[in-house]
Amino acid sequence: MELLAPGTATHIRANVNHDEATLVSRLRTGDEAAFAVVFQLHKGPVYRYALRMSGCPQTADDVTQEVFLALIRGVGTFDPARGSLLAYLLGAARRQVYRRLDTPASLEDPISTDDPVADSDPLAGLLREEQVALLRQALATLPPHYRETIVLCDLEELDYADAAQALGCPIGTVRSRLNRAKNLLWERLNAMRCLS
Amino acid sequence: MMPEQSRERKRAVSLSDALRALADDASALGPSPSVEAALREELRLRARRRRPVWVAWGAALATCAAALVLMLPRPTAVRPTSQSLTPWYYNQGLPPARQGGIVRVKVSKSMAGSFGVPVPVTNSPDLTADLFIGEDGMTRAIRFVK
Repeated sequence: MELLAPGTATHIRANVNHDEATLVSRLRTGDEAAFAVVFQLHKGPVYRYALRMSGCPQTADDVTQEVFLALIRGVGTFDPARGSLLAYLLGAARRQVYRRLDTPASLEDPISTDDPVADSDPLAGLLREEQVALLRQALATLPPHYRETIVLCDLEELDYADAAQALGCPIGTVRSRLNRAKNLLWERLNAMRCLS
Repeated sequence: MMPEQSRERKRAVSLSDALRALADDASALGPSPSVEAALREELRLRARRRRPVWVAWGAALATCAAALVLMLPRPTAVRPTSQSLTPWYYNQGLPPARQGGIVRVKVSKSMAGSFGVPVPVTNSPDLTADLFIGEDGMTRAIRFVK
C-alpha cells in the first residue's frame, strides 16, 4: 500500500483499489484483520468529514459507525473501478450527514461567483492557533456543499477524482466549486476579522 | 507579474498554509472507542452466521454424543480399602495387565462362592466386590469389600 507521509491525512491511493476490493470481501466474511486495516486507514477521514459537516462529535460517531456497518453488511456495492475505497466511504458518509442535516445534498450555488475578493489578508499578523480558530469558524459558516469541497480536497487531501466520486459530481464541478469555496472562505475570514 | 496576479497568488498561499494548519490541528481526531467495539461485535456476529453447515452439524453430533455418554450407567465411586486383590482364575493364561481399572459390583452370596476366593461372613444376602479389569476388558483379580 502506498500511504501519504506520516503526520498528514493518510489514505490509500487509487492504484491499490484492487487490494481494497479484496480487503472488503474479506471484511464481509467477518475477517477482523481485514477490518482492522480498513478501519485504521479510513476512520479518521470519515469521522472528521462528518464532524466538520455536522459540528457535533456524537453525530460524527454515529455517521462513522453507520458507514462502516453498511460496509460490513454489504449494503451498497464498492466498485474499485469507480474509485478508491476512501472515496466510496466518504460518499456514504456524505449521504448519512445530509440525511441528518435535512439538507438536500445537491444544493446549487446560491452565491454569486463574481463577487470581488477582498484585498487585505485576514490571516496576516495572527498566531498559528488564532489562524486555526478563525479558519475553523469561517469554514463552519460556509454552505455545506462548499464546506465539504474544502474539507475533502484541502483538509483530507483527496485528489479531484476521488472528491468527485465522494461528492457525486464531475471533476470539473469539484474544481469550480473549490475555487468558489475558497473565495467565499476568504470573504468570510475578512468579514470576521473586521468584526473582531 | 501583474499586481492582481501577485495578490491572488499571495492569497492562495496564505489560505493554503492556514488550511494545512487546520488539517494538522485535527489530524488526530477520530471516532470514540465504542464505535470500533460495536463494529467488531457486528463482525463476530457475521463470522458466526457464516460458519459452514458441516460445522453446525458436527457441533450438534458432538453434543448428542456427549449427552449419550453422560446417560450411560457409571461405576460407583470406589472407596479406598486396605484389602489386597486376589488373582482370579480367569487370569490364568492371560498376559499381565499393564493398565486397568477397579469396578465395584454387587454379587449374591451363592455366586460369590463360585469365584474361588474366600467369602467374608455377613448377614446380607449380597456382597460388594471390587473387580480389577485389564485394558483388554478381562477380569484379573477380585476382592470382597467388608
